[in-house]
Parts: sequence; C-alpha cells; structure tokens
Amino acid sequence: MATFQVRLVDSRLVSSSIGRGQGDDAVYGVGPYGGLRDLFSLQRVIAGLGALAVLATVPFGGMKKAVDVHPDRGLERLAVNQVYDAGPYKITITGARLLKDQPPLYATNKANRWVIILATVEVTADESRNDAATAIHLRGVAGVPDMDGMLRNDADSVLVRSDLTVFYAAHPGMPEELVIGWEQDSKAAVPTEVDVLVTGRTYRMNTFNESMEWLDEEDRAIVTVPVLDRRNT
Amino acid sequence: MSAPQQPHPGQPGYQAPPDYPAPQQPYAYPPRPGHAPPPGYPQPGYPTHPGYPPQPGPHGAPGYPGYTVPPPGYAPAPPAHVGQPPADPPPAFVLPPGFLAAQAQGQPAPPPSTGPGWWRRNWWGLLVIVPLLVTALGPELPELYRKWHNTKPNERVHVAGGQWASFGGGRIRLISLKRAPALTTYEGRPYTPPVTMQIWQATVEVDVTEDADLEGCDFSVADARGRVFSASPQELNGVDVDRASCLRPFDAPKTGPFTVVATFATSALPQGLRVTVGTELPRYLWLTAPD
Amino acid sequence: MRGTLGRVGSWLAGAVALLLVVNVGHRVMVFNNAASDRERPYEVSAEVGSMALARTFTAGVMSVRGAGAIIDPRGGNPHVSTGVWVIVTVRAASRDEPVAIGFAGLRDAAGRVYWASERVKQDLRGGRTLQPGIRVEGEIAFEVPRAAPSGGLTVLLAKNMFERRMEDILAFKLDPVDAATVTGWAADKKATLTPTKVLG
Repeated sequence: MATFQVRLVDSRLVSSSIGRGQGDDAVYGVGPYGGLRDLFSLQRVIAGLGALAVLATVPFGGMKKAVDVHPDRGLERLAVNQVYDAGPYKITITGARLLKDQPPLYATNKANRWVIILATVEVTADESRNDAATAIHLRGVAGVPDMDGMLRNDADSVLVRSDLTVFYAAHPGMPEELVIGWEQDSKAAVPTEVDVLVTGRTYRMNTFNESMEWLDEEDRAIVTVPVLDRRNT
Repeated sequence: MSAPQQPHPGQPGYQAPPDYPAPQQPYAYPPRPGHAPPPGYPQPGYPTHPGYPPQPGPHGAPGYPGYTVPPPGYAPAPPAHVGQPPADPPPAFVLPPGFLAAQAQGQPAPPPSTGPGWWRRNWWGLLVIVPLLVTALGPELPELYRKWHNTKPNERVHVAGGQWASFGGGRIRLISLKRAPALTTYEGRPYTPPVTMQIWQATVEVDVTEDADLEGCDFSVADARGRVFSASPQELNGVDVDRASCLRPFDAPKTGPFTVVATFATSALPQGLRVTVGTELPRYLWLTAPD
Repeated sequence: MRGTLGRVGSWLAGAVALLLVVNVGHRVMVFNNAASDRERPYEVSAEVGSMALARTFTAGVMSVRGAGAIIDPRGGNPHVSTGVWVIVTVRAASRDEPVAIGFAGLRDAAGRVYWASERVKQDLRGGRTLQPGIRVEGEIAFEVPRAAPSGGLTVLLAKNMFERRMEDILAFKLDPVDAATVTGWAADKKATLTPTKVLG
C-alpha cells in the first residue's frame, strides 16, 4: 500500500505540472495507475514519436546540412546517336555544329554565332506533339545562358532538317530530323564540345482535371557532343 | 421500520425485509452484500457473505480501471458490467421517423423515440449549411455569370433609322447598308462573286476621339435568322475593298465624323449592322439603315 | 494507460484508414481514366462525300489523294515526307457565326492521331474564318507513316486545336488503301495543294 500512496502523490505532482486543474481529477481520475496514465498522455506520445523520428535520422547524418549533389546525379549518360526514350518521344542527339548567322536562321545580333544541335525526334505517344524540341537544352555553354529569365533557355530556332521549315510538331511513329539552334555571343569562346540535356516526361493523371497526360518534365539524360565548326563552309 | 438500530444495507448484519423485491435498478451492480442477487444474476463464486470490503474511495466504483486489483486474498472480482447494463445513451444518429416507412411495413413498430428528434437535435447544423453553401459558391457566381453572358455580345442596343448612337466613348451611325457595286481585284480585273454569295457594304459615320474604346470596334451584319457575318472576310481575299475600322484615318480631319465602308460576304439578306466593342460587352449596337 | 494508448491507436487507425480511402479512390480514378472518358469529345461520324453537322460548323470530306513531297508554287524547298502525305479535300461552312476549324487530324487504325502538317501552307485548317452558309472547299495535308493508310484512316475535324473535351468532333472514315497505291502516292514528288475557294 505504501507504494500506491507514493505513486498517488507522484501522479498529482505530474498532473499539476502539465497544467491539469484539480477539477480534472474527477474526469481523469487519480487511481493507483493514474501516474502511468498521465505519463502516456496523447501529447507526450506524439512528441515522443516525433523525437524518435528525429533520432532515427542520426545514422543518416541527422540534421547536418545536405551536401550539394553532383549536377549529373540521376542523369543517364548517353552516347551520340544513342536513341533515348524520354517518355512521349524518342530523342537521338546526332551531332553539333557551329554556324555563322545565315537564313533561315535569323540571329538578333548579326555577329552572333549559332550553336546547332542535330537531333532526331519520334513521338511514341498516340498523338502528335509540339514539345519535342523543347525537351533539348544546352548546359554550361559559354555565351549561351542556361536560363532565359525565370525560364529555361529553349532553342532560339528549330527547323525541320529536310526542308528547313520552322518545326511545329512531330508525329507518332515518324522520326523527324531537326536543326535546333541557340544564338551564341560572338565574344564567347568557340566550343569544341557541348553538354546536351534531354528532358523526359511521365504519363500520369493530372490531379487537377483527372485526365491522363505526360507530365513531370525533368532532365533525365545527358550527352556530350563534339561540335564541328562549319562557319566557313 | 421498527428496528432503528438495524445496520444499513452494505454493512455486516443487514437483513433485507422478507418482502423486499429483487432490486431492478439500472445500476444494480454490484449486488450489495447481504442482498439476494437479482434473478438471473447468480455469479459462481461471487461473495455474498458479509465482510465485503468498503469500496476504496469515491473513484473505486467497480468497472473503473483503478478497481481491477482486489486486495490480496480476495476472490477474483466479476468482469466489468455484469448484471444489467446501464441504459443506452440517446443514439447519436437516428433517421427521422417515417424515413424508412416503405421498409418498415410488416415489421414491428420501432420503439418510441425518447429524446428530441433528429431535426431538433441537428437544427443548428442544418442552419449552418445555408451560409456555408453561400460562402462556398457565392463568390463564384458573378464570375460564372460573367463568363457565359458578359463576354459575348448578348445585349442588343437598337438604334434605328440611321440615328447617331453613343457607344464606347464615341458616336457612330449607319448611313446605308446596300449591295456592293461592281468590285475589282487588286490587279484591276473585275471581280464576279460566286452565285451563292452576296456582297454587302455598310457605310458608316464614326466620330471618335483618340484612345476612346470605340476605336477598337468590330463590324458584322446579321440576317433574319440571326446568323452573323464578319467584315472583310477571307472570301474577299484579293478583292480591292477597304478593311473597315473605327480608327480615324490618317487623312481624315482631326475632329468631327469620318466615313468608313465595311464590306461583307453573306449567304442571306442582312438586316442590320452590329458594332461590338470589347469593353462594352455584353452590350452591342444594332444599327438599322434609314428607310 | 490503456485509455491513452487506445486513443492514440484509434487516431492512428483513423489516419491509416483515411490514407487508404484516398489511395484506393485515386487508384479507381486512374484505373477508370475517368476524366478522359467523361469529357471525351462527341464524335459525329459521316461518310466520305456527305456533309456532317458539328455544333458550330458543317463540313464534309470529298476526296483523298497522296504524295511523297509537296511543293509550294511560290518557291522554297520541296516538303518531302519521311512517310507519306495524305491530302484530303474538305468542304465546310459555319452555321451561325464566323468560326474556324481549329483542329484537323488523321486517326489510324491503332488510334494514333496525326495533326495536320504545319510544314506546308494550308489555310482551311486554323487560318480560315468560315462564314454562315458560305461553303468553301480546300485541302488539308497530313503526314503519316507509310503503313498507316492500309489500315484505314479517319479524318477528324473540330473547332479547337487543343481544347476538344466535350465538344463535337466530326469523323470521316476513309477506305483502306493498298500498299501499291501508297507507293504510287509516295512516288509523286511534285504535288501542290489546291487553294481554298468559295463554291459557286
């Protein structure tokens, strides 16, 4: 009985320390096991679980600041001419060229050069698409900014290679060779090779309108392409 | 009672009067020591003899968790809630009477409801639904209305007989709406429209100050069925006609009215001229020519 | 103790049940592809050679031909197709107010849809405003893989290029074309498109 008495007193101390009033005892009760009951109050259990979750992160570095990951992390490295399935389309980077400004390329500054990526795109989705060329971006080329304001720097000019018309859409099952060009500042170094990023998409339900769409644009592959200087031919 | 010194119920030595009925109170638990257990209550091994210990304080009622450990040597206590259960509290949700009337046919009548009815108990919740609906849908309604009504020319403002009409910060009037005279192509050759197509021209006087909304007007004509034909259609590509607009021509006087001619290709007789200005929607002008 | 743990337990069970319901509901929606089905266009089928009514316009497919390359008489490079050009003659008029045919597509037997080409100038799709009751006739050119015409193609016409949900779409089923005919089409490297004209 003596231990019961001690616990009884103890539980009263505990309950008053977490702010329960005397009147609450009528509701919650102060029986022989009241102390344990108070020890496992809802708030404490939740707080305890939270603390356990934080502790569980310790083996993985705890609250240490995350290290910057390598920019190529998660990117599949492709070879030139390797066909890559980027979701709604297959993309093959076939080469790179450096050209002077000439029709049907029209630079905003006549002195600027054109960094050209040659690529083949083929829609594998079941409808024509007009976003295959914007799935290809340059990375880290001097004189060609990666970003255009808040947006990625999409190509300045995209042409169909066979007739040099402005490219609009690629069609299912019809590989189309494209000329994808970025203006390069004439003062920048002449590139000998460029990194090309390929963006993929995932077919999933759009949770806003519940229709199935190709969403979640993300860079998935990288190709390093040697640049042939054809400014004088 | 003739024996004032008789012990209280619950105390050793208490004897129930001979005619004492078996207690039927809802909370007959536990049988007080000395009482005969109510019918149907016999608990094997349950102590009925005197000497049942006093309960440990106000919270020691049987069934309370703190009571589950009896003193050493005491017979095991009965499980909680033997004997008659407490009366059910009023149910939290009961279908209103008659709700299931169709199903209830042939069934025994449900026990009569004791507490207030479902509608009475939930009246405030039902009342709250009304303002909730209003606040949830209300702000959208003007926008929805605007979308289907106010973005299209839906309200006709009729000005007849070639009268001046004030609209979009300027004035405009229809002088005539006639079949077009002989037209030529840009190369100067005479243009003959296909027999299925009529060409009409509206001659309009416009008086507009710079930057008035009316400058951005659109002309169209409508036939008796309400079918609308737009000005300068692609049917007349290559034909030498003016593109009609309410912008003051560069060679017109700086103030005062100027004349524009709008040309239409129609498949039926046009009844009047429609003038739409984006900022004036859903209103649009319906101008009919003087007789 | 049992009371508190019980409350935590039922709280957790409630949370798990909620997540389960949301997850299962999501899977059901994905499985049924609900929106694409619920909001699909209203397809109006018609024979080649006859006119069909959409909500805002009326149109018909009159004839079909093919080519390996289309040339623009005003100059420029020939537009060679890696597959084959399919050129359909379309007649159209609006019904109540000026409207354009924003979408033209070819659907093959496998359900793949090929948009009208933007490589060649064609004004009937997109650029042409139709007037009520004034019938015009012009050509619309598509690029498809060589194998597609033999399975039978369907010409699709609708008002909007992209927003085609719950809107009329006209469908004209073309007869399957044998491989020899397609080879003949592909051999024609000098096809030109007939300009759109008002029918007399």
